[in-house]
Amino acid sequence: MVWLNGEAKPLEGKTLKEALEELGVELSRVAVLLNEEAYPGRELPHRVLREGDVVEVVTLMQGG
Amino acid sequence: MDTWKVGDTELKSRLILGSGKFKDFEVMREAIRAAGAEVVTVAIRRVEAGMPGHVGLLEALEGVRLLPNTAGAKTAEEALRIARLGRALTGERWVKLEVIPDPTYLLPDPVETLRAAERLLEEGFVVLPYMGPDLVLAKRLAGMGTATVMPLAAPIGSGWGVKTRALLELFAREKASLPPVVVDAGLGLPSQAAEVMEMGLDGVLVNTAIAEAEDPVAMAEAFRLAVEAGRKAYLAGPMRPREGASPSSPPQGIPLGGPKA
Repeated sequence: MVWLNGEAKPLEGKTLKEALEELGVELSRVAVLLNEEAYPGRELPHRVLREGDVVEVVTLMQGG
Repeated sequence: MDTWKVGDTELKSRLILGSGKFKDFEVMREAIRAAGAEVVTVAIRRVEAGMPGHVGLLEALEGVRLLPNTAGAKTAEEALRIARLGRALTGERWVKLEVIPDPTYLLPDPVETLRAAERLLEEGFVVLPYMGPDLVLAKRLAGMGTATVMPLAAPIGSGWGVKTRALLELFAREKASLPPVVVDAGLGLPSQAAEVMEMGLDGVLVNTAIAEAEDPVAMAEAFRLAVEAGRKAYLAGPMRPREGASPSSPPQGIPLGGPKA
């Protein structure tokens, strides 16, 4: 399982980009943390997800 | 022209706006315009289906400099993670550093803030740290090279006003050894923004007092005018209070009908 925003998902074997596109994430509006390394959504590394990977997908929100 | 600098960037407006709590993007955008704000804070959060706030936010904030915050971080490590994501998301090196372990009063953790600031500066961030009104901490942060120090006036979102005035006065006295001092958090009224600007502090960061006003756009304008008024009053050199009264009209020549004194 891959941890995606705190939930276990069966995403092993897919690339990070494939996994996020399948989930309907608009890559231009997000940033992604893969095991503590941060990437702009448009500049994701070509990386096949593995068991135990931790992925955070974030976007801008209103906040003070 | 009275400008100030955050990092290498020259700013005209001394009012930084928080983008939280506005009822919709249109009101937020109008409030930013009315405030004349050049810098607006944003938060970084997980993408979740049905969560309002992200689609269209970037467009609504076009033309202003984004200041991603680390809100939600309770430790230095969490702040670093959020800051790096904020930079990846916006391409912006500026970060409003906030490390807040206490959910009741939302007071910042000085030790974790210092640790996080050190790491962020090493990584090339321009750091604007939210902090208690602690001059010693401010000087430590300044010594590291933070772009501002941002002491609180009162707890975040409280609207209590300038409860830390005596300690903020020390920041004003020590201005020469500090980067720009931005009073962040706790202001409820424009007069309170004017008050800290009259003290000679460099700017204010306001969110709730504007976003939760019945008319946020009008309140944003009121804050803009107050910040400008306070700044102008500081530059004008206020009079010194004296022991007693001093008549404003000449004490001689009062036409009372009696003999000339």
